[in-house]
Amino acid sequence: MKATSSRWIFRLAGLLVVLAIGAALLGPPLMQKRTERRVRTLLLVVQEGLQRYHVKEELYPKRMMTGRELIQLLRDGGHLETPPANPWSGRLYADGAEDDWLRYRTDSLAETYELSVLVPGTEEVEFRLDSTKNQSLE
Amino acid sequence: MIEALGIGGSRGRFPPIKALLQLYRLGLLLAIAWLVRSHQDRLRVQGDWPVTVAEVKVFLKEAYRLRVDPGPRSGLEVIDANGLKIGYALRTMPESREITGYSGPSDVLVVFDARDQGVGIAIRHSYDTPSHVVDVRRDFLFVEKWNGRPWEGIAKITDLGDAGIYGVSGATRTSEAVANSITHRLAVAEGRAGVGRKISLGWRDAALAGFLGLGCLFAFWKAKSFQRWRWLYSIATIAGLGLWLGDLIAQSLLVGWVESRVPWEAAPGTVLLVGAAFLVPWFTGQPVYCQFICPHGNLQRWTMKALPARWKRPLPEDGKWIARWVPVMLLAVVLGVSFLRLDLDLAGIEPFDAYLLKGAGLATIVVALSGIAISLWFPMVYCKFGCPTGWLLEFVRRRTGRDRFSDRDWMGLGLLAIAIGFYLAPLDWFLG
Repeated sequence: MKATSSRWIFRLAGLLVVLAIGAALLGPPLMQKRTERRVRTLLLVVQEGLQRYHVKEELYPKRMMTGRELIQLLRDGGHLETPPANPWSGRLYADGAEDDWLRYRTDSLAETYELSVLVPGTEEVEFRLDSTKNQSLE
Repeated sequence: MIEALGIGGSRGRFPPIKALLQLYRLGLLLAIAWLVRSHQDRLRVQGDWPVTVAEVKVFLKEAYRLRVDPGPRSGLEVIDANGLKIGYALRTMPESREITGYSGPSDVLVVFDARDQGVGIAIRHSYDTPSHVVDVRRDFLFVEKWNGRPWEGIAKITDLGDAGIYGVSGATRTSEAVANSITHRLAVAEGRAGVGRKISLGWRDAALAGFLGLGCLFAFWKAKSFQRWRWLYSIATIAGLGLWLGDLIAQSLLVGWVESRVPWEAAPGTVLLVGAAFLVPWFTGQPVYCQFICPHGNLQRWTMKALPARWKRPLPEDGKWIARWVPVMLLAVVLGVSFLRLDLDLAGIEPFDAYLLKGAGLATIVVALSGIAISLWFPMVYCKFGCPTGWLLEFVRRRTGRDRFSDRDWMGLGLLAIAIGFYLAPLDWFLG
């Protein structure tokens, strides 16, 4: 009886290890996909705010900015009603020192915009939404 | 019925119905394949912003549900509460993503009635300047210009002015982009409908058919004078089918086919090989691919001979029990990757891409080498306990002698339950 129960404990422990391997395989790409969806939502919200800014000011913001700076600018101008969620922290964009991999750029005449999202911790661009070549996320 | 199938607790007390079990096994795999395909069709047609019944109801009041049309039109059939088709709806994205207005493209919903006459359009989402999009939305003259026009008529429009469709004042480019998106989307659908497929046979297909034919001969023709050449065939599969052609049956291949379609006209040899790999064991019980054709299986058979027999270790019973879950877990991972469209290269969970040498990823090489290394001490361990593709082929194989509803059948049922779960649950549950 004791031998049987210890045998089943061994088997169940082994099964848990197998399940853990499965979770380890699926976990990272799943988290990546979740972040990717949040990034897409963020880009759409910021892009719409930028378009509103452009309608009012007739130009896009003139300097390079981080996501936090851009969102603050758009909020101050009334082009964003509520601050979007930060895809990397899950919290609302605020002044804190949380991860922010969104970058904004414009040309010398501020007639075009480029929103890029970097792979965290690198300078590699993961997503790009702009007014010239990459005009949609589809 | 359940007892007759041997599902009940009294295993083997009732005579098993082998034919029913065989149908169950093949049917289960087909059901999973159908779920994967149907889900992919849904994602392909609906994209990241699925069209909802509420959106269509604006134009067709009787709309009750939407049915994905995986055909060339790639839209949605509008069904009423009685199950009758009352119209057709489609979105212009992603086909029209290159058609931009002032500052971006727009995703437009186009709805037709049952006679393919337009009943309305609506801008669903736009990357264009919001104020211009609002102008277009509010211009009923522009929006209602599409009503009553037939599908073919809209698809043929090349000059908006000639068709009596004019831009919205103050939002000309946005409205023209919306109009062009609609005509382009419909024209693309019409173009797809006209594409024919022609079978193309090449030397590669002949080589695959040759490997398959010889494998079947070795499986069924047991004459000693013929079987003594099996070692040569075994080496030929490793060198030819594996290293030269690289046409091994793998999850990445099967999932790709199930998600999109079987490329019978472009790769008839591979289709024949895969079809035979499933159907020959299903009909005859002979695991022709796993035991005779698979280069990785044959390589493991050679490595078995590398160490003396006294060094070999049988896997303990508990170890076997645990290891049997490995391929099932990998198949569950495959389902997760497919249903959630995760960025995980399925080639990396199996060793087969390692035979491509040049293009092989690190993961597949590690799986291949470690599987071969472990099989030095535990013969054929990868085939028996690590291979998800082999598990599927073994799942459908007809058993000799008595047959019953076994652990393997329960595991298959579990995989079906996982597939149903992924199919029915909203993506947001998993992806946030």
